[in-house]
Amino acid sequence: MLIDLMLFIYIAICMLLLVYSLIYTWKSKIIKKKMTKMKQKWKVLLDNEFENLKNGQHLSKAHMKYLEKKLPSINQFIAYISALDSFKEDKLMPIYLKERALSQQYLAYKYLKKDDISRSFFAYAISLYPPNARDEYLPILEVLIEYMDDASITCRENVLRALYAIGNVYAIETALEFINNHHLFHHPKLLADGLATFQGNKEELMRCLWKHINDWDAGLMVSIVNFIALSSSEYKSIFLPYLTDESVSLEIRLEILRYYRKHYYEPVQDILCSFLTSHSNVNLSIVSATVLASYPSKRTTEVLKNALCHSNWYVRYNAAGSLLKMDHYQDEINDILHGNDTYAKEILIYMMEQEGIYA
Amino acid sequence: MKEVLNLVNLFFIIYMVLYSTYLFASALVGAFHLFRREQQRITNDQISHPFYVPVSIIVPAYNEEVTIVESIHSLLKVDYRLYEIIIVDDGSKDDTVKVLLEAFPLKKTNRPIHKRVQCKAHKEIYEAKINNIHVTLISKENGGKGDSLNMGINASRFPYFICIDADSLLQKDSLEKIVKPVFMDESVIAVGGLIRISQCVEMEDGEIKGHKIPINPVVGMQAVEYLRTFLASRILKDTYGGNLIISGAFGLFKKDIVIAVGGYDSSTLGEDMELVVKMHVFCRNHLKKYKIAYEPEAVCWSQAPSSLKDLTKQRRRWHLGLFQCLTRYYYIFGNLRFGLVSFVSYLYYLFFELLAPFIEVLGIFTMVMAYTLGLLNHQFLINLFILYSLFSVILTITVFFQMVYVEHIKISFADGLKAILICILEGVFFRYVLSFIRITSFIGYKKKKHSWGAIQRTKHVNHN
Repeated sequence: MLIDLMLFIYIAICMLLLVYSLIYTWKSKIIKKKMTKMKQKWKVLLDNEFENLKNGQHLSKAHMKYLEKKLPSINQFIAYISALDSFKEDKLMPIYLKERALSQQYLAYKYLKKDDISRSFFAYAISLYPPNARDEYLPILEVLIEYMDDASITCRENVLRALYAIGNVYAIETALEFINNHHLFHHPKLLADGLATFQGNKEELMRCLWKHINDWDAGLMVSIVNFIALSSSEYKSIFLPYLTDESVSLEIRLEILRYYRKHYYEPVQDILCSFLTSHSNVNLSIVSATVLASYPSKRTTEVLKNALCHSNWYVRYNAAGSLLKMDHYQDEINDILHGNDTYAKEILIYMMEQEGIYA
Repeated sequence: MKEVLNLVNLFFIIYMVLYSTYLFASALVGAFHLFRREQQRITNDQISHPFYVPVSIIVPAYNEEVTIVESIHSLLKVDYRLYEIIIVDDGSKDDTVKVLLEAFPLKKTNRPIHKRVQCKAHKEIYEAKINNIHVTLISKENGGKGDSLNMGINASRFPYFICIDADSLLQKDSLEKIVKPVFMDESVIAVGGLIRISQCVEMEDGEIKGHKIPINPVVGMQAVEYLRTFLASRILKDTYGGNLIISGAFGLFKKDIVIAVGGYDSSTLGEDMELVVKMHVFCRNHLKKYKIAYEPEAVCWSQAPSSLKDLTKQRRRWHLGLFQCLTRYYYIFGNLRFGLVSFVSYLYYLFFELLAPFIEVLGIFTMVMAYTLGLLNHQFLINLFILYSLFSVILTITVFFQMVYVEHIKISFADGLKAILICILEGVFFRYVLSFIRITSFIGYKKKKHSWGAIQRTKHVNHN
């Protein structure tokens, strides 16, 4: 009968899966042993090559050929990287990486034809041991960017990490252009934190990326503003016009607002106060209430005091936090504590408890 | 009469074909997924970032004095940069609040709570900063688990929250893993984690020190049942974003969406499923791009009922919760707007979960009828039962050994045999016990439909 036959087929396939699981468990033990041997072998080879470099010689042609022959196998590549880790602190490492550059170029093309996971590993390996291509746009950079085409997010992230480690400004710009043009999602936090690890000239990178403010997606530009906030205080006057420009995306404006929390800029104070007093956009009010903590003055205190009665809970909460950070305005705080506004009092007392000020 | 019996016979054959195919597809898809994950792990094809989005962990507690302190200790040891813990005591009758105040330096505060979703009033709030992690304890009027979770949402400061049972233990990397899907896809609004049975593991400071097959058969059989659900069925549903449940024991949610749908419903027994289904409905009705993801690498170890009495209470709650949810959102049934969520997930829960025990009773009744009329083919029936049980047992064993190879668990030969024995018992005995529990769950429904259904807790076996 049909159901019997079907169940027999299902049982047979399940048995195959079961056998596969058991064989895999057994095989992974063997692979583990094999990998240890492979790593050992690579270590010996690398020892010889580093010895040659120490004696002022170049990498042997045989070594280069061996790299090209063996490393297209991912297991060999894993063992090789693991062996290379033992030489991480060796002062000859930059010379080794420079001399093996051609073989890596060859392998980059080889891995281009492989699956997503293999490409991702190659990019990861490059992020650990980047070639010296900071000032020169080597073909390997182009190939790495090609890896991002039809790739998983993990592969894309590994490619970006490789590019951050290499430190070539133009390569980063091209990669981000690729993400923008293909409307790919790459989390802004991953991008911002990744850009902060860039090993090349950060000032130049910031200049290069900021010029795309009008042509790249808002999400991407938010990451770039975040990266600039982490790395430079030189954008205070450059950002200012964008803060009040309503044609600029709200996310970018909010990120610029946060920039002024970290980097004090007197002319922005009036704008912050106006954001908090006007009711045009509550998100701008919420962030301004926090940022104003970095701008203590009589006027700011007054604006924050009024914000304690704002209709939005988060504005009140942030305003209370900012007020307490202003040390020299105790009288104003006492006014609120002895006043009749229950809302304002409640939130301020709680914030003071948090700061350990209130008895 | 013969025609009627033939029709019933045909119905059962189609039912079995569909159910077996579903189970088989789950195991197959689960195997491929786990194999790919293993490859990714080996080749470092993973996103590793020391911290991701800030999250609030909400721990609803009702009469949890036995396990709560240990659970909070385990939460404080999680490897994650930015998170807070909010414990919501739902008017416990035992000393849950007292043991917490004794164990942690919590101080009473006047914290204002921004009520964005409905919940009962709070009585007292305590706060502390422990190892730089903000811990809040809210003692509130009794209102049920959903109500407690709503209070936690109101008190949370971060854009994502995690709900976790008070008796659960997290692995060190669980938070890092559960937020991963959020980084992969901006449309992710909720993520479910993998729930395992804590009686099967020995943990020390959030790290696994050893696995064991529990001696208690009730626990052992639940362990293999959980494996089949979480390492097969949920992975299959995740391929099309069709999971209708994120276990209340461990799940991550985007707060603004949960607030937009009105938070948890405290009037239902299955508040975890109700919320997820409600989120599906909300996003589909508003044509919002969304994904409800499942992350099997994010592991939470939860205590399983160790007696048949407690298991009955738990499963009764689950089954009634399922009933309330499926009937409330009946319009998903056959609704094109819901796509596979309607035509696979909803139908699965309706026919293979909610109605399954009743269909089984109908089967028994049909057999009796056929026997009375002399129409019963004994040989066919016995063969089918043996074959089906064999399939079911082999499938469970397969999933068990997939877990063994993916997690590189070392098990002794004796433990392997013990596991196989438990899989056999689960397949030929335990599932029928569960069916009985489910079919009797409607007895006393009106009286007990809002209760927590408290289960006897024991201290975790821990190296701490």
